[in-house]
Amino acid sequence: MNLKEFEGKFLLNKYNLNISKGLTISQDSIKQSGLQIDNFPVFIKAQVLSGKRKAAGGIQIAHNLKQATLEISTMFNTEINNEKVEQILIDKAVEFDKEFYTSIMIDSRSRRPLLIISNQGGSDIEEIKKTNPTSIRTLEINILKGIPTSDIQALTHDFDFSEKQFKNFKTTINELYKCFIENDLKLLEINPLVLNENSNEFTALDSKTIIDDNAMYRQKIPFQLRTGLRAKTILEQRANDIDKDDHRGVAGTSYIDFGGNIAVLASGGGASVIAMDALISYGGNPANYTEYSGNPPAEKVTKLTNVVLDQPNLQGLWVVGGTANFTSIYDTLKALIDVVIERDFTKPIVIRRAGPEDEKAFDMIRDLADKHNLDIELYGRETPITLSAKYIVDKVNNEKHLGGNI
Amino acid sequence: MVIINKNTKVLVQGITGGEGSKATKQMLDYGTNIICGVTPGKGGQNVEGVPVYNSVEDAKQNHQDVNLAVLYVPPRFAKQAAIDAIEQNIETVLCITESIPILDVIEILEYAKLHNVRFIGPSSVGIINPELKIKIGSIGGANNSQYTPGPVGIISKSGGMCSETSLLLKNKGIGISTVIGIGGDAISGTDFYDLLKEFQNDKQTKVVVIYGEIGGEYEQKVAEMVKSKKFTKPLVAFVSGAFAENLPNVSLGHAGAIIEGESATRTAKIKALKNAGIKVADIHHEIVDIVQEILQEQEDYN
Repeated sequence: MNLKEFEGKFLLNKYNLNISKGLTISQDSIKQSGLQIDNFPVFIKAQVLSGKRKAAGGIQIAHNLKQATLEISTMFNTEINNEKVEQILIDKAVEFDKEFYTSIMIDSRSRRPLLIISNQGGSDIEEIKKTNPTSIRTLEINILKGIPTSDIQALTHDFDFSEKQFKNFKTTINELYKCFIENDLKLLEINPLVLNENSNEFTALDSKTIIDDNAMYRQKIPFQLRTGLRAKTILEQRANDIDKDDHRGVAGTSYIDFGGNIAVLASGGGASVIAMDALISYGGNPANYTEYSGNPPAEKVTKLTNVVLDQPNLQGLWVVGGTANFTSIYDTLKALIDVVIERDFTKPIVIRRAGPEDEKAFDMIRDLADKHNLDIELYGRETPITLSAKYIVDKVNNEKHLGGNI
Repeated sequence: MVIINKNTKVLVQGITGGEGSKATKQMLDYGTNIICGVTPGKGGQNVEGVPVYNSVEDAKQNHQDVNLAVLYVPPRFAKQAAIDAIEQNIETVLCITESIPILDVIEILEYAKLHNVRFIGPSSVGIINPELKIKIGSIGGANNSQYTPGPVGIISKSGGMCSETSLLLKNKGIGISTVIGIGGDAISGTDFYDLLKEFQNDKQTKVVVIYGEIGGEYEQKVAEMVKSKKFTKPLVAFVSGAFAENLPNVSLGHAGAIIEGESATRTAKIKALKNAGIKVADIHHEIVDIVQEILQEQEDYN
C-alpha cells in the first residue's frame, strides 16, 4: 500500500532522523479549530500519492496567513493529477545548502534491498539519470549483514563531506534502513534529503513510502487503507476482509471496483488477468476485478459472491477461471450459485470453468437453472478463457437491446 | 532432465495440513517418491504411509538421501520452515506458499545462497515431468490429463496458466517435457534465466514457452540471454497484463524508475523479447500456433 507524505513521516518519526514534520490539516480540522500558523514562510503541500506533484501545482509557498488561507482553499478544491486532495501538510521552510536523493527499494535482479543515493537530489531525479547518471550510486544490501560503513564511505567518497557530515549522513542512512526493515517497506524514498552546512545536519523534507501488503498482518498501520490512489470503497474493504484469519485459499484479497455493468468472479491470478484483458478488448465494461483461488472454503466464495452482486447497475455476471488443479469446481460453484438463487439474480450469467468435479458441477447448475429460471451459459475446458469474454459481452448487449425494444 | 529425475526424494513440510496432505496423496498417486514429512508437534504420525517428523533435522537424520523439500506452510511460518530446510542442505527447496512478506523471501534467499541451495518460488505451483511420472507440488491436482509427454518445456510465472497452456497444447496433440511454475512475486528464487540454462541441456525439450507477467526484470534477462546465445533453442514468449498495466497502484515511484525505468511494463518486456528475436504471442492461445509452426519447421528440416 502506498502511503502519503505525512503518513510516511509518521513512520520515520520513530527513528533518529530530522524530519520536517509540520502540521497536517483537513477541511474538517479547519472547520473545527481554524487555521493557526506561527512562523512564515511555510510550504503548503497537497497530500496526494501521484508523482510530479510540484509540477501539478501541489506545492505552494505562503508568506502570511492570508496567502496561506487562499492557497489552502484553492488546493482543497483542485485535483492534483486527477487525485482529490484530502489532507494538506503545512511544512516550515527549512534552510539548507545541498539537496540529496536517497531511497531503499526491493531490486528483483539482485533479489536484495537496494540503496540508491545521489548528491543531485530534488524533484527531477529521473532527469538526473539522463543528464548526470554518474551521480547516482547504488548498493545491494545483504539483509543478514546490513550496510557496512565502508560501503557508505565508498559511495560518497567524492561528495566532499566533512567528518561530522559523513557521520550524520551515515546515521541517517542506517536509520532509514532500520525504518525500511522494521516496517516491511517495499520502497522508502527521501527526496530531497537536505544538508545545512552550518549545523551539519541532514533533514528529510519529503517521503514516499510503500508498505508490503503481504506483511500487513504484523504491521499496525494507523492509516486508512486504500486501493491504488484512492480510499478503499466499502465493497473493496468487505472483499479484502474475507481472507482475514483464514489462510485456506484466497478470496477477494485483490478486489477493485471499476463501476461498470459486468460483475466478474475470476479464479486464478494469471487466468484472471488474461480474462480482464480479453473482456476489455471485446468492449465489455467490468464492474470489478476480483479473484479467488487455492480451493477456498465455500463460505469464502459465498461472501465474495455477495460482495460482487452487491454492486449497483449490474447487467451480467461472468464467472471465469483456468483449469484448476486443486479448487473443487463443484464446491465453489455450488456456493456461488446458491447466492445467485437466494438473491434472485436473473441477469445473464456466463461460466467458464474446468477442474476437479467440473462435470458434476455443471449437471448441478443445469438442474438449478431450470428450476429457478436462471439465464446461464456453461463452458468447460474446450473453450478458451478469452472466448468466454466475448460470450458474456454479447449476452449483456442483447439484453440491453431487448429492453430497448420493449 | 530439468530439476527432477528418478532419484528425486521428497520431504513435504506442512504434510499434516489440509493442502499438504492432499498434495501428498496426489503426488504419490502420480508416482513421486515422497520419503518423509515434517509438521512441528506431529512427529510419529504418518500421512498416506509417509512418516512425519517434528523437524527437518529429525527427518534428515532418518532419511539422509532426501534431496528436495516442498513447502506447504502458512505464510507467517514459511520463512523459518524454509531456513530449516536450507540449513539441512537439502539441494532444492520448492515453496508453494503464497503471500510471504517480501523481506522474508529476501532473507530466505540469502540463506539459500550461503548453503548453495536452489530455492524455487515462493508462490510456485510446482513442477511436473509426465514422461518420468514425477511431479512436485500442486501442479495438475488430482487430474494430470493435460500433461502428456512431448517436446515443449514451459516456465510460467502464473501457476494456473501452467495447466491452461499445457491444455491448449494438448488439444492440438502436442505434449510437454517439463512444466514449472516459478511464481509471480516481485522476487523469485529461481527465474526464467536459471531454468532456461537447464532446458538448454535437456535432450527431450525442442522448444520452450515462457509465460511472463508485468513487474520485475526476469523477462529482460531472457532477452539478454538469447542475444548472447546462452540459450539457443526456439523460444516462445507471452506476457499478460495489458489490463493490469492501467491500474493505478503498480508504480514504484522514482526509485523504480531509476533501476527498472520503463522496463517492468508489458510493452517494454515484449519489445525487449522481440528485439532479441524471440517469438511473442499477443493473445494467449496464439502460443500454440507458434509452437506448432516451430515444430513443423524442425520436422521439415530433419
